[in-house]
Amino acid sequence: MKHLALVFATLMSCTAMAQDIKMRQESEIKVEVSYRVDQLRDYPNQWRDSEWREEYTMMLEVGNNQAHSYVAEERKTVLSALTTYLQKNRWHLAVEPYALIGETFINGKTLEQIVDLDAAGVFRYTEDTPKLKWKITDEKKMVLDYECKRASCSFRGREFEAWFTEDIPLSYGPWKLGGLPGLILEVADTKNEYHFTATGIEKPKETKYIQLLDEPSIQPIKREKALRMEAMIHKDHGAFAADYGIKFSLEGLEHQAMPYYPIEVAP
Amino acid sequence: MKTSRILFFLFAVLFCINTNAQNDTISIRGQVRFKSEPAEACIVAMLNPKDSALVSYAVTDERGAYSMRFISHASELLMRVTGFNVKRQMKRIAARSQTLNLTVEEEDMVLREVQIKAQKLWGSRDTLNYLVSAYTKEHDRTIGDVLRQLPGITIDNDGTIKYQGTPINHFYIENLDMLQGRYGLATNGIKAEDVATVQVLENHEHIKALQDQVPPESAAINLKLKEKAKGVWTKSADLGAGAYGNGMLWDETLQAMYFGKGGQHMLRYSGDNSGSGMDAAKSHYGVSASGEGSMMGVIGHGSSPVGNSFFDYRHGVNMNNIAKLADDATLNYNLNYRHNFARGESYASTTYIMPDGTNILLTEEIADHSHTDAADLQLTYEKNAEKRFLNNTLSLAGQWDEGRGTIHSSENISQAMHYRSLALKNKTQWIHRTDNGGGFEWTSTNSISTSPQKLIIGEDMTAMQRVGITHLATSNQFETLRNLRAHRWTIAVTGHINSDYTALTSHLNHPDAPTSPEGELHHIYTHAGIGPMFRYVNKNFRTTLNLPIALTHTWFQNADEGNDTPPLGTGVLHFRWQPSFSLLWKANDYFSFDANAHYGASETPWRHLLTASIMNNYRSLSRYRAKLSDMHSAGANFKVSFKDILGGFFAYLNGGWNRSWSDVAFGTTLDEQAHSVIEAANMPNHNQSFSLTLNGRKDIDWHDIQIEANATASKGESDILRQSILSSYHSNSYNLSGRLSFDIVEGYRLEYSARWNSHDSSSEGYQYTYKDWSQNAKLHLRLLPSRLFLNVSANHTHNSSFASAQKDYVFVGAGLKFFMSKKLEFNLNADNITNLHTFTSHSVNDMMQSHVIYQLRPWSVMLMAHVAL
Repeated sequence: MKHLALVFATLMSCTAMAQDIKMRQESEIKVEVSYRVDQLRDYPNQWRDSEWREEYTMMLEVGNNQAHSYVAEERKTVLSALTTYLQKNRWHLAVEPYALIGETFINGKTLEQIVDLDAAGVFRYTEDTPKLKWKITDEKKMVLDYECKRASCSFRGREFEAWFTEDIPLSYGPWKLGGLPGLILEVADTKNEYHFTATGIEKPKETKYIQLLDEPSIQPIKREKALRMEAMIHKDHGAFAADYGIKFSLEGLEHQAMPYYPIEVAP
Repeated sequence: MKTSRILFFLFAVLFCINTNAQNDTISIRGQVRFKSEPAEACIVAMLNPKDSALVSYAVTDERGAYSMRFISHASELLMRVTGFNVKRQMKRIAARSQTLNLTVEEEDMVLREVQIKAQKLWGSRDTLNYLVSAYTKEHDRTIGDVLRQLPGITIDNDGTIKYQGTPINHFYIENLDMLQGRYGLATNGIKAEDVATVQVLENHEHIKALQDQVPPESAAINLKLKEKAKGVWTKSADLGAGAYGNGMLWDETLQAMYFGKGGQHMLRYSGDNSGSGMDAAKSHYGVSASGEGSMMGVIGHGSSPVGNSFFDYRHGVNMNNIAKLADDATLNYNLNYRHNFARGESYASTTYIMPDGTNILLTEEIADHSHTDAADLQLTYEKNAEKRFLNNTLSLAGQWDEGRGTIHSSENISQAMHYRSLALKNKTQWIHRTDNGGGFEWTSTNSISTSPQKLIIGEDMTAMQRVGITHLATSNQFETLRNLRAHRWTIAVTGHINSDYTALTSHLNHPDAPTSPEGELHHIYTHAGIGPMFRYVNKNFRTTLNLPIALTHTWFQNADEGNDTPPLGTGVLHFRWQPSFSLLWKANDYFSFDANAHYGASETPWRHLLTASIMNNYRSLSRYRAKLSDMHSAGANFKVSFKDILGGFFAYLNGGWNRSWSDVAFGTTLDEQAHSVIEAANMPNHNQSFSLTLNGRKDIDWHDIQIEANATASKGESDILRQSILSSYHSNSYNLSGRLSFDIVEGYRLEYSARWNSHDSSSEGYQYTYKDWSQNAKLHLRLLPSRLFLNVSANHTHNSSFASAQKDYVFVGAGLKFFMSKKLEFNLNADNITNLHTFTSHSVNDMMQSHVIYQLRPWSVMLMAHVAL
């Protein structure tokens, strides 16, 4: 019981806020997987002698032919943004925007993605569940005590290398990555700008359901437009926010381009 | 004709190839079903029967249908069907195109579970992350309230934050150290709800250019803020008013903070007369200029260990700022000012045990008050890059103390003390690393200070002591650096050259010191050394052996006006050898071991070389006249730490031994009125102590239980010179303490702590034992969810050594907290509800027993409003 409470400990501070946020219940969760996300924020440059990397936690909830994955830290921010909008009728502003992975819901052949676009709001787009063409090798390694095989594919401008285990017959993984004959426990792009590593896997100790954000304030958008808008946030945050009626000052830094390495590089 | 034959031949070859290829391409489709319904999301895989290598696979859709096309030259294949909660099926099939339908059965899947990590505490070997929201209780407001509850972290009464029993070496907020050691300002000022995670960076090395070297034993803390707290000014005001038995109470704090990408600011004013005693701006690490300290003082009322004996008021202003000049360069200033007024009364009964077993008893009724003004400014530039490090810190500090007091014993005494100090200190640290891992580290610290001071005694005794001290010091160290990753064994060279100059003038009028009333001392001590440092590093095992050889030169001159005794000594040259050893081994994610040992010798400090008499207080004179001799010290320490992050269990075992010895002893000679003279005598003497501490803390999810236990045993022996007789003094003390907190039900939390202490001391003809124990309970009640909280606390102390005096004391306090909104909070606190006016404490050490009765603050009530502006 306490583990379940701990699972949502990252959302505890938002629980009070989340009580007002509309949710849509989907299928019962069969398996929960936690991943450590090691994300590159910036390469070494004139201001920095080494890579700037940050770590986050991703949760993958697998239901009945459904999979729901989200970065815990990003979800907290989205809940906070939705609450701010409910209370103050305006969207929030991130102090340090960075490329977000987003919240993914795969339901059979359809994929829904929630994206946080800062001053513009929170949006949702749908697309067909991608069919990734994996090349599987016989190379093996252990991840979380499970024997895993290596597979690689190209997807949206990145080359991914994944380690999946046939001992867990679920063809899912973090974010939009899946379609292998087993659960993906580790995956990274070849540039190592995104690296997901499973850190835990459990069956829920009590009945739980996949809960999706279902607020009317979440607007539909096309995927390509969402990617363009996220790029604009990083190119000139001050100007982007001003377009949506929010003027702010960051001691002169608000118009400076931010490092931006999105997980989807190409259409 | 020929062309058409060639074409036909080519066509036939191609047809054969194509047919063969088509013959190797296999297409298998079908449906997977449970008995009555389709089996969706099952994985149908084709394997090579020889080695079970995966040939092809497909996932069934909502109709249970699958299809796959692949090339295989095998005659047979293994077909495997798996799915979550589906019983695995394996079947040999012919390797040809066909339709295969299967029926599968449900079976509960057994998962080799690993606890998922979206939980309140996770970390790798060197970094622990605490999710603040998981540890915050509804009644907690500041991050300091939450830090106390984090496993492995303790906060002492003076505000020192420790991790696994060792004080932290840095306190960062969003990776920047703005406060430079005054982290009480953050722990008292930053709201818990603004902090996302607390990171503990074990064995933290701040300097990037030294990351590959042997790391320090201590850890650092980094607060990672939530997005909403970044880039915005957070302003708050605390206003309080109340009353206590002696008058009105007030408490106010105004604070503004900003944590942004380009820099951080913190401005704070605080003032109160509530007697809390703790200075939030106390510096726990860093570079601080300071004067030489006072050589004399007013006998004061002391501080009660239980209850509140501070009758005071204080004001403090703090300005802190850090600006990021570049990604690895910062400029930081800290400006602090405080004004304190403190007064109090106590009754002290001190028994001095004589070597022949007799006692001298001194009783004093003490009343005193003091004013203190202190200001300091610190300016720091730092560039912390991968291969270059430069830090320059300039510190300027001044302090002005005025103290007054009266003593009623067998005589009536008035005391007045004046103390000033002004100090300037600059420290520069420069590190340079080469591409192959070599390099050097150079540190230079230079300081100058002046401290004039005066003590005036009046009424039944007339005396006056004036002292002026000027001190200049320079300390320079150099060390070559090696690439510890490329070589297991490395040898580095260390060198240092330090010099201290002290000038002292003194003038004394005292009825018991007709000789040597004037003093003038000039003392220059120079210490230069060089030596090898051997290191062995093998992954997580690191050990260092330092073998420096030093040459010291001491020159001093004592002017002893009105006395025929010539000044002692002039210049003395010495060779010294001061080895030290340290070891750090992180055996695995659970255990780590630390050990260190050292031996050193130092000369008699300038204070003990004075030939002039100095009045330390109205009843103590010192006239050391020590000869220049060596004081030796040796010590060893070990620590075994254990942490189980997932299990929430932290423990450590710490043991130490210290020994010091010298040919010069400093002893007291007491008269019947317990007035003492401290002098030096040529007598070999030693001190030795042993200590062992075991500490453990465990968190249990059921009812959110936190348990902590601590056991300490220590043994000491020392030679004490009294009445010109050297006596051996032995002491043993044992201490057991524990703490238990848990939720009785949700919203109702009990915290209980208890401490038992036993102390034996003995000497020839003297033995004494005393035991005391104390317990503290605090109950937190949630009267209205998220709105109204009540806490009630009780503290009980029992001291068995009080023969006729009160043995038991009970203090009761209560507090009501009301969150009117997210921005407004009220606190109503009542202290000492049982209205105890006095507390008696008893202590024994160094052949002296003290009974002190402290005057305490009577009952008090205070209403505080906290407003987020």
